[in-house]
Amino acid sequence: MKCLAQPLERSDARFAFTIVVGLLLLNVIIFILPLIYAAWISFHDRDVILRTQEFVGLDHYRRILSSPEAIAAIFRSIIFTAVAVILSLLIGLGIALVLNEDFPGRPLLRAVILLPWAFSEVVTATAWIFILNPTFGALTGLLRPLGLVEANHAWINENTALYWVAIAFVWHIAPLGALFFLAGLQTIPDSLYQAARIDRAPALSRFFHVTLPYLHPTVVIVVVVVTMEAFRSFDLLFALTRGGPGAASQTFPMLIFRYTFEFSQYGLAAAASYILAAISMIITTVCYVVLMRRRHIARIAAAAIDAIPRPRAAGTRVATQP
Amino acid sequence: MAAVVLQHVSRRYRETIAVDSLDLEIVDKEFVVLLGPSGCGKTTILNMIAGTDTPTSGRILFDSRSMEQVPPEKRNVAMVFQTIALYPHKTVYENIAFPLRMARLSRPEIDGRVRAAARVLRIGELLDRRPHELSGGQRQRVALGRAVVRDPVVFLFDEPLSALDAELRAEMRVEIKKLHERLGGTFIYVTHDQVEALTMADRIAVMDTGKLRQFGTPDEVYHRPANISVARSIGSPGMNLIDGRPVENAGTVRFAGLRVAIPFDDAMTTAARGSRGMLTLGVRPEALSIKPIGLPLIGEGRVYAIEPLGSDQFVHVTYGGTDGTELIKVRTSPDARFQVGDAISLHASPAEIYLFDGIGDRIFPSGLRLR
Amino acid sequence: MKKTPGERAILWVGVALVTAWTLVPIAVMVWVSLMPLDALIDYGLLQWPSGMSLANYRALLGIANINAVFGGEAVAVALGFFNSAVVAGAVAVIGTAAAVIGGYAFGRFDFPLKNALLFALLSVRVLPPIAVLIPYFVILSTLHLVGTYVGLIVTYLTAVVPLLTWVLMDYFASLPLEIERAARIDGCGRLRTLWHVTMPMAAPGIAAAFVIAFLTAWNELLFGLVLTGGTAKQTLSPALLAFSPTMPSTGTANLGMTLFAASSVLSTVPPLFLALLAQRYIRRLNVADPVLSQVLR
Repeated sequence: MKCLAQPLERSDARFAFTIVVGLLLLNVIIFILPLIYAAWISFHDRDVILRTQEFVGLDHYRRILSSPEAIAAIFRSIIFTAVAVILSLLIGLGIALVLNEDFPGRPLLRAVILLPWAFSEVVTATAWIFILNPTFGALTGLLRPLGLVEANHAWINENTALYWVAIAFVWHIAPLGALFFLAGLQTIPDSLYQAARIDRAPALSRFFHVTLPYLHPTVVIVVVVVTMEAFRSFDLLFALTRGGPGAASQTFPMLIFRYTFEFSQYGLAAAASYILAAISMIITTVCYVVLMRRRHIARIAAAAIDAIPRPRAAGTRVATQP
Repeated sequence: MAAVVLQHVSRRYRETIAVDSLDLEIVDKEFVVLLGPSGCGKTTILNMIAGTDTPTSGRILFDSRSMEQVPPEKRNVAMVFQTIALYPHKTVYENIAFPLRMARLSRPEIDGRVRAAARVLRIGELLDRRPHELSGGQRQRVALGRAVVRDPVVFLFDEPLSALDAELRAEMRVEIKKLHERLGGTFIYVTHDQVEALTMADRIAVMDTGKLRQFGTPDEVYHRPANISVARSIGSPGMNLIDGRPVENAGTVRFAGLRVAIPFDDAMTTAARGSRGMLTLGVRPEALSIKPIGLPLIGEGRVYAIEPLGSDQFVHVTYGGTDGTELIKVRTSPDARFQVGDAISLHASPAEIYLFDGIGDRIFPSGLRLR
Repeated sequence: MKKTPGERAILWVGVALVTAWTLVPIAVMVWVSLMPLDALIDYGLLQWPSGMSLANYRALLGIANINAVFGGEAVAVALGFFNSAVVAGAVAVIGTAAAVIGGYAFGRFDFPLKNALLFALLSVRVLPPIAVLIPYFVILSTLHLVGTYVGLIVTYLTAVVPLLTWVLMDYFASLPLEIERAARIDGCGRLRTLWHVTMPMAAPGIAAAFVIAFLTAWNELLFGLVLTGGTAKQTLSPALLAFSPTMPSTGTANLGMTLFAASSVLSTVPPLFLALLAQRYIRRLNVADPVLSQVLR
């Protein structure tokens, strides 16, 4: 239809509106009200034993933001997220690049790729436990006979705990990034690659000049999604290390959990939750803005590189830039 | 069956006006064609009549009953879509039976009607197939079957033949016309193909950018186009349209290098004044002749280009115009032979000459304007 | 496009790396699950101990055996399967139904405040689940809904419905409009159009949404743990967690490492099976219906 989209009966709007409002009302009751309640809790100090509530205003917020434990947890969350994002980008892109090519068994591999995402975070943790456990883990089992490590080598220790969790997390979430990248890769017209080949551009150069510019928006999406998921990630961490050893892998969500269930500090936990949400949104927005702005820089850079004279066979045509 | 009346019907989407204050009175059992170039307007009109779209202003009446509060499922209209729109997950039988099922007819009655319709449309052996297994022509017939199996008040057709090849189109034109004779219903048919319009319609509504330009019989629309827009839409190849300043000269009008024996009356002068002296002259290629055969001479020129078409031949002729050269198309016998540059004389009867004013309305011959 | 031999080699290396990266953790877990019960303690992960078998699985699937051998703890795992099946099933059915209606409304129609309402619906996704954990826990325990199916199902639905609505909205919008118009003209009211015409056409999208909903509920840990942990309605993830080696108090002392591995592997089966079914269903629709498959992305 050459027409504009969706011309509709007027009463259609009423029909849809009713449905949506109904849905939203439910949503409000089930979601917004608890949120408001949570905010209320965050402004009160609840003594579970004495069953009293005392209004303390922003006290909890102040306490958290000045507590070294909390600040450390926030930092760990940030580091965790950063590592997760970078690794997800690399591995996700790598998987997608491989899957973008044609080879026997490709449909099978495509399905297999999704397994880590289909597994729950608990099962993911289980799988990695069987690799990382000092006593019976596969890593120890592999490297000890070769004499590279001693028996009972603690792979997860104070220095490495956070990073191992990040790696397990990346294993779980990279397929999602790979799917995005694959979709993005498949929109790149073949003719661009052919033109680049005719221009005798080597594979790496083709990657930088043809593939990457096209993938820019996908990279933004993946960064945003992984950032959001990593920052609030809890299940995997809880199942794998419980924040340990000590507080080595205690991220902010983990700390909030402990506030709630180990210390019964509901007010503190509620306040911390809001701080977590706020930081998460800030980071996501910053990522988005920075990456979107960079697009112009990338394009300028590509154009500049293009201007450099390259050896060309006589009569070949120039590869066009997106 | 019903008479359908549109009163000042308009439809706008944000800034675009798809239908502009349309007034149309369609008589019961009439076959009306909405003719116009491909665009949103005509389909939108059909949708509004069917009820799947609502006018921004204006009313639609079936037999003097306003359809404003009546939803599409209660209007009892049938529609054949440009995209055919068969239910992909249902068999042909189920597709045709669907409206009857929705009307809660009994199973034996549904079966009877579906098979009768299938017989008429010669798709009896296809009843168990799914739409994707059928050819375009077969799908179109199923869509027709779905429309005729009920007893609708109005039949709507949205460019149903545009996806078919020329041969199939000719065949289906006849079938649809026959269907109209058999069912005797009110048919409202949308197309951009003037051949369909001229061959099938009782009356044609010529439309252009959402506005109705003329509503009349094929004869009226061909011989008495109300304005340039209609003149251009009807007739193939289109009417020659020449801009110029008419100058009176001893009972004839000199117009851009042509001399036409038509009276130059006050209406013309007033019209000309309104558009700074410029009018448009129209004459169909088939109305022009290079031989005198009793027709007055209107001009001389030279052959510029030749279009031999087998059964027809068209010659482009240059003649002295306002800036030295003008081009006019003449229909000639297919056996005549020409060379570029040959001298040609042009003849035409004054009855075949039209004059249009600055905004495109016909001012000569007067009478039988918009209906 | 022809590749140079060098490029081909790199590709195969890539395939090997990707396969290894994805499958090794899974393979390890499966390997352990096939081992006899205490073989792991002997630390012989890379040997092929005698007695590799499906014994663990057989034990798990015949609950009576477990009871006799391991006592009530293993029954908790079996119970976890059952409870998760109930919860995930309910979430999938109700969630998909709600999302179909909501997605249809958003995808097909234009109405005042549409964008604002959509934003309101989707903003649910933005918050970390932890943020609503406390109020939910407090509210649900006040309503005596902790340790019940209903409490957990409702909680999951609030998370799942907006996501599914968004997915289906996109999908519904891509379906051909004229076929729905035809249905209206053929005598269907809006709801009948949805039921008889739109939904059959949208079946693949709906199937996908169903699987996503099921998977989300099946795999979830935090709320399952908080709202049903330790109760008779405990779902699978918390049940498995209880037997994980990292859990200080219980751990696999009561379950046995290899049995735990087998339980974990088994826990992945229902959602994968469901996904496979949905995939075949979608594939069957595609093959039978090229017209429809043009509609599917």
